[in-house]
Amino acid sequence: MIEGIEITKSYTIDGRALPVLKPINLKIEPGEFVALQGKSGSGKTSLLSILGGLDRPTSGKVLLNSREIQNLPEEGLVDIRRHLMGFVFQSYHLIPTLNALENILVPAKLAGQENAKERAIALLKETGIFERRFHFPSQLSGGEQQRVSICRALVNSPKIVFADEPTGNLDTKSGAEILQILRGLKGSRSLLVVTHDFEIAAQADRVLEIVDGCLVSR
Amino acid sequence: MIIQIALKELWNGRKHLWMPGLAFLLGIAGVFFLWALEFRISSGLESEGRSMLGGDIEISHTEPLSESVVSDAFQITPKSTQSVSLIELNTMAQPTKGGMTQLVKLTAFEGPLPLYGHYEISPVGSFVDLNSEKPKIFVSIDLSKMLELEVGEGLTLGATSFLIAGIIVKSPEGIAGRFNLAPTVWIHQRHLEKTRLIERPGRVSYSQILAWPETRSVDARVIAAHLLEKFSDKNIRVKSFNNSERAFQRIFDQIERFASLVAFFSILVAALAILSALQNWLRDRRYFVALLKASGASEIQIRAILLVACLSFAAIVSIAGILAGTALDLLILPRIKELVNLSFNSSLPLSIYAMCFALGIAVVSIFSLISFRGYSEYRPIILLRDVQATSSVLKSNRLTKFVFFILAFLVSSLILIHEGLYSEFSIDSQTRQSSLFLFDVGEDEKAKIDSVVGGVPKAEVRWTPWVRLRLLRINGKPLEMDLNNVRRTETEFLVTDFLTPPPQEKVTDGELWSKAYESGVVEVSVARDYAKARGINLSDELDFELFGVPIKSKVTSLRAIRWTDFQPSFRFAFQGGVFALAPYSYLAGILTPTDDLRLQIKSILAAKLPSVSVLDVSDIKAELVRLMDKISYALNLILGFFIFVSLAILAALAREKSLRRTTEFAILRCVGASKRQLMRILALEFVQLSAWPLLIGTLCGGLLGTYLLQRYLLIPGIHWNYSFFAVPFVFGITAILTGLIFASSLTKVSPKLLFADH
Repeated sequence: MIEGIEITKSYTIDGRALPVLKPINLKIEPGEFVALQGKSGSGKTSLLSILGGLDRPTSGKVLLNSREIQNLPEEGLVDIRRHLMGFVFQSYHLIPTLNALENILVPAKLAGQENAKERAIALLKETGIFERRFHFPSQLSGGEQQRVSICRALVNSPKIVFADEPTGNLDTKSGAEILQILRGLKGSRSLLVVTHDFEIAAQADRVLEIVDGCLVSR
Repeated sequence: MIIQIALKELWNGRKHLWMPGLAFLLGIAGVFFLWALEFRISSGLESEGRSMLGGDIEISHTEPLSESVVSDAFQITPKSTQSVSLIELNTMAQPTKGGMTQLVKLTAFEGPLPLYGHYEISPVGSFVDLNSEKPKIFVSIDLSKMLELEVGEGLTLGATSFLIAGIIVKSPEGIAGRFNLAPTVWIHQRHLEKTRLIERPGRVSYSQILAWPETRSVDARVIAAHLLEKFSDKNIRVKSFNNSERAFQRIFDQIERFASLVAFFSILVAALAILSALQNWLRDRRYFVALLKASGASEIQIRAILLVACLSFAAIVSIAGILAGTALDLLILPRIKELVNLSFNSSLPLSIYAMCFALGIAVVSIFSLISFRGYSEYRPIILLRDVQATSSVLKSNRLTKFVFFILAFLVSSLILIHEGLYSEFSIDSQTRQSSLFLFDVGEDEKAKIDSVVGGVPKAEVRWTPWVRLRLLRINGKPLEMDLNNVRRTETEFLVTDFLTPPPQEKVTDGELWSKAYESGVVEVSVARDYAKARGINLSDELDFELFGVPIKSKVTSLRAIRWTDFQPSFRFAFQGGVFALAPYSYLAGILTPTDDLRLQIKSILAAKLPSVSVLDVSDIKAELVRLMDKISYALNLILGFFIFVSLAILAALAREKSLRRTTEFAILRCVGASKRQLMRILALEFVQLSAWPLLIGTLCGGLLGTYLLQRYLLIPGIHWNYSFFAVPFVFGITAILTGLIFASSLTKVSPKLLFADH
């Protein structure tokens, strides 16, 4: 499904190259749930953003369905983001002027899907926030916002979902609920979750850890 | 510590502040420039007025001034006051070698001419040279060109021939000098009697010019007012140098008012940019404010930090604005000088610099206080959980809509005012108007002129009767003198009567009489601009005196007059037939179909009626057209400047609005929005935000513009046209385009900024 080959990433600070990722090889199969762990600053998010086409590696390749995507221009990534990928963020990143339902419908509308409302409503019901569909982000709790964010990631039925610390801003109860939902995502859909949460990692098919920029299986 | 934190925060926010700062800088620069212009024009007019009058005050009469009048004047003027006696009249001059005649203004002087101002004489000489046994004369360069005269030749005035001793190449005539009715010649008074030109006293003006050392801080207007009160003969006129450029004061007044409006509006829209910028700057500082609160900072400390930052910003922008204004002033000054033909002071008073600086500080302080109202929302809780509230986004949108409204409102009202002024200062070349004028025509000469003009095909003569009246009381109260208002120091007026007004006049208030005067109270119509200056309203009762006979009148209408048409108009016009038995004099305006016929009539009149003064205004009108073109150019320049400032502010706003969208655009990018879609979203948002405010603002601006034109600038009529209706479209499209230009950077926003680590 998605494969990283010899991926490296380094940042230049004061003229000096600071390596974040040393050559990394990684393959995620369809329907696989992979948890990515590591200390703060270890490079977890960098790897996730490279695999998700949000950032470019310093060297190496990213293959999505056998197609190289690391050098695609932004416009070239538009179709991939619309149909193949979904993202869930720690800070939810909902649009404050749109209500929950409208936020979920944004990717569908951008992809030109006019009849996505039913799918959005189904997702709202599935995640238990149907009653809150007309509320604005500021009127929702953190857990509810994250559910909306997950629904938004799923509305176009992507093949892989990238989640960055999805429970990082949530209390234990809300975190458990989100975990429940993530677990339900499994099937033909792949899932790459960056997390410190051992509960989430325990549910994953595979747990990877980044140590000093290198990938270690656990 | 507070200052240090404040300055650092200001520096951190520079990304959002530079463009509104630039817009505000332009606003301050504009205000500085316009104030400087206003100062230069008024001080230029003052110094020009002194040179033109040739002294500080002038006492004049249609009869010789008695010794007592002169000694009375010397009693209240400062010591070492000097005086020159002048006798002036219009007459025809002819070279002794023969050739055509020309109307000239004869100035016969006695005393140390000139008291003020500089005359350039060729060959080098002085007015003392004319005080010789042999009759000598100085002629203006215009006359020497017209009649092809040279020094050493002769010129006949009345019964005497004079030797041309010099040509006045340059005289202190000021802007009005361009429109002198006739070229001037100068002789000494000892030779005047021999010319026998003063045998018709009605056409002669006797005056005494007084001047005191410039260093004396004596107000000439006060002296003039004292003298007016002191003289028992109320036909004596006294004017100070401040009145000298009166003919053009009105035009300058209107331009100054327009410039003041633009200055005020500029600073207002610039302030809106500042308000918007400060609100966004403060929103950016929400974590900073929350952190300060969490760290135990008191409300006062937080306000102090924010205020210091804002004041530092205000000080930097104001100083930069003043420097930009100074540069603008230096750059445009030569063009303005050329435009108004006035000598300007090279230095500006410190008060203009101080006022601009204070204005910058005051505006930013006031608007920062408004912005600070919202900072209490930034509580420490947002450090733990921050969701941008829907209401804050909507509030920001409301402010944007308000700014769009205000911009459209101010720009459209200024465009309307500009259109009004433009039409006021444009010369009507379509309507057939008189180009030859004959002044002070008696009943005996009227028939002769009719027969001369009647003999020329398609030529026509229009007679305007006039009499000289004295205004005594308004609503029973004796006239009050206001020394600061030139128009409130006059009591004597040339007036006319008619049944219907001439084409250049329009009744704007009240109703004009429908029939000729029969008996009772006389109806009078007053020029609207004069009525406003004098405080005369409809239904007011005005008491006049005509050669000792009281005339009671009631104001029944006000007229707007296009003075730039250069046609005879009067401040007071009476009901037709009211002066039937009064000793009329006439002003004849002759309309000719072609220039050749005009010259033909002119020469016939000069030959048949040598004692009548013929004035050809075709050259003066051409000069007036040139001047008005330049004034229109100045108006365009001022309006263009304002529109530029407005568009800069609009650009600042659009950029700011676009930059606010970074996170949202990153989200949209992340969920698959293409560049085209992002552009379309932004464009639609600007359309939605700007459409109604721009339309409503334009319409409201139209109403304000019409009101200001009619009440503040006293220009009648409706001036709504296509350029006015273009405002919402131009501004809307500018907002969208600017937004899109700046938003192009947004389409490059990397979605990775959404990750917490970033």
